Amino acid sequence: MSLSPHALLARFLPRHGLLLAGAGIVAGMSLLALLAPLLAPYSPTAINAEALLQAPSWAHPLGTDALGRDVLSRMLYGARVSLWVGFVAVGLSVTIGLALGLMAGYAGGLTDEIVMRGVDVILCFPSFFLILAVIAFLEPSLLNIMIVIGLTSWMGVARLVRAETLSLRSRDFVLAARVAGAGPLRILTLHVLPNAAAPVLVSATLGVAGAILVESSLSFLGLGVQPPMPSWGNILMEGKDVLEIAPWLSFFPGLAILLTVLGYNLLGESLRDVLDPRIGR
Amino acid sequence: MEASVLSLRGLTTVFDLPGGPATAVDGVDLDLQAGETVALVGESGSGKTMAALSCLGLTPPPGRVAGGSILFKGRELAGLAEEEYRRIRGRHLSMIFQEPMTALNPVFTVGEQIAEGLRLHLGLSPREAMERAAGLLAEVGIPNPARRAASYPHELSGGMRQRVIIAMALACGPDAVLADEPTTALDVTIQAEILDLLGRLQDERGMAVLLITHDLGVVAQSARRAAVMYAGRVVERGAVDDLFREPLHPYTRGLLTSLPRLDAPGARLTPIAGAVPDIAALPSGCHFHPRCPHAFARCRAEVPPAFGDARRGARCWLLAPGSAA
Repeated sequence: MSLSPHALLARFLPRHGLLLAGAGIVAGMSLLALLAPLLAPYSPTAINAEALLQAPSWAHPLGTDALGRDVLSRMLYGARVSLWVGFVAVGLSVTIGLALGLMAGYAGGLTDEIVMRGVDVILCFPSFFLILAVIAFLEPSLLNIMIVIGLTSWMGVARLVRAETLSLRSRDFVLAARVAGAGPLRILTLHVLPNAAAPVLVSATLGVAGAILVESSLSFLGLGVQPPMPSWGNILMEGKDVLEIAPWLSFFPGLAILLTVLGYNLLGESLRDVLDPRIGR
Repeated sequence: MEASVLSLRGLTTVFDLPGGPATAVDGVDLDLQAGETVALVGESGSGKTMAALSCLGLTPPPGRVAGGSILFKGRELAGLAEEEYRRIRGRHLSMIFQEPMTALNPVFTVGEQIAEGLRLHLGLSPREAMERAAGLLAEVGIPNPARRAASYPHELSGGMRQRVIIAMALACGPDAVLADEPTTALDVTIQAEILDLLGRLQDERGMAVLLITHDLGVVAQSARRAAVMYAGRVVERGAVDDLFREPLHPYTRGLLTSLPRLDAPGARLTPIAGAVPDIAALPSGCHFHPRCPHAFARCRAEVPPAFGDARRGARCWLLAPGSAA
């Protein structure tokens, strides 16, 4: 069965248009962030007293801020912060969620009870205020933000993984692996984990969007990434004071956050549809 | 008489349910000798699969082996530590599963799954194990084994998958295999092929097979001796020929008269009235008495002992010396 590239695309596009759109946005944003040093026309922290709050022009495509810094350059470097926070925070939350979910689901009994009631308790805290409180005590550095977001967002993954593990551990192939002489660690990593990978991947993708939003909100409130290091959230914060005379300062970072979160959500949702055959098209 | 490879004495498996303990396997005695096939026959829920899992130390929680002895090649397995058990499982004592759809991991190739046991027990390198796996696939009659080893389970038919499962179970050359309904999920024609394959491999390797089945046709085709289980107990045992010709227990008789016969066309089938009891609420005395056409007072009150000897006998008060019936 060989189809021409054109026919293949014609068959793929209508079904997976959203997947492609999401993946395109995510890939584009990642590329911009990666290539920021090459693409940025100015240094993101270079102050220029002769070009304060300038509207978008050829010299400054997205305008300048109250200190005369180039908004495009700051946005490009800000993308690095946002994506970096997203990936590290989600990496941490997925690691914790996987470990606890696998443990609870496979061991069952008291272990399961303790872990899952722990999850319930942590879910009782409104997580954003928890993060705010913790960051208010700690120094609001990039590392602390990533760790705190990661530590407060693993519960969903833990629940998901536990449920998958519960259903997988009673499957015959797990029993067959035990008959073949495999120990619990081998069964979990080789037989349970790969079969639970799809929903975890979906959840991680959606988690990146969530983490980016939290980081932007924190930075907007001044408790996130600290100036002069640029982040979409703190550019937005600086923009709100001059909204009437320099709206571009709020518009572009807002748009970037919207697009990126939308991209990850589209990617996550359509991955779920593609990977889970139970959901009809 | 030759020494048994696997010898069960009074094997009892209990499930600790919230409403109190439920006995799934109740004092099962069974002997399996090298090179022979013994059938363990019973309806769904009679405890035959649980008996097999108990032998492997794999009773699903809250079930546990509560009593009796599991003697495997002269070694007591009941109460063995998990690490010790892991060394025996797959290597010396193995199991073939019923469902070819679910007993294979969908994310690994069949070669990798056969290789798993070889690497765990024999310490083969991944490459050696894959070569051996391909050899095993050839042995279970899969054409083009080297290429098939790289296939995923969903790319194979049900019969092929069952062959893969057999190859997995036999990979390390076990002394005994517990085959749990190995043909139930297959078409009748494929069933015969799989049974032939199992018989051939057994002859070549001289291993013992405990064939767990509810299908008396499979019993007649493959086994010389059989034990009939009902509600956790072995109610009758004997050579398959004797069992079919002259069943001692009313339950065995019921099973046989509920089958169509070629030698008596037009004869009415007589199903056994009622259903298998729930193990959490078993009838008193002989568990079969509510469904038994011959039940009398003693059946309700007392558990019948095993009349006869280890080779031929039944648990039924009708066989008691001086019984009224």
